[in-house]
Amino acid sequence: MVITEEIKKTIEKAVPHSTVYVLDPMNDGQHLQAFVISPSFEGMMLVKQHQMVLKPLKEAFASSVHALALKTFTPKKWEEVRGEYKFF
Amino acid sequence: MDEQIRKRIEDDLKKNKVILYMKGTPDAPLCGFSAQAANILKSYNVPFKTFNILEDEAIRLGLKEYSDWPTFPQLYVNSELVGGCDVMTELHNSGELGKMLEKTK
Repeated sequence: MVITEEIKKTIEKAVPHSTVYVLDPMNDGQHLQAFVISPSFEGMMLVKQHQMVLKPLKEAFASSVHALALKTFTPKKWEEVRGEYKFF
Repeated sequence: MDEQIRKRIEDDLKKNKVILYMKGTPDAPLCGFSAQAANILKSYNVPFKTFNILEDEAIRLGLKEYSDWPTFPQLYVNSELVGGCDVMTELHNSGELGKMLEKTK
């Protein structure tokens, strides 16, 4: 399975009711980008949101992924900002 | 992680209100994210310590377990993990990082 698919599935399992987009802008399988939208982030400190996403990805980081640029949103926040991201 | 490493980490966090564990040093960063994190901190006139995790494998591995954060840089303010480069950048842009750092003065 492609690394972006693998990571997408891992995050979806770890973050309840999440919508996940994983991109490989440099097409190298190492410097990835992920957008994670979920109501479970409501009222959660930003670092805790990221920890929730990153925790299950430890193996991925140990093996191939060098960096994951991560953005997390509640559904409400996502509606506000999604226009800023041209690939949506 | 053995206790000796945990103790070294905790001592460093207690002694330094603002500490950035990074790859390289602010003047010679060895990773783009570490460089960005160091530059963000430099923009505030608040003293901060940095620790080059590439020079200490035990601390590098210990920190990943200690903070439950798989990558570097890692910023700690008042012994609390603030986050990596992404979180720092967002908090910097929202002004929240400035408020956090003010409290360390």
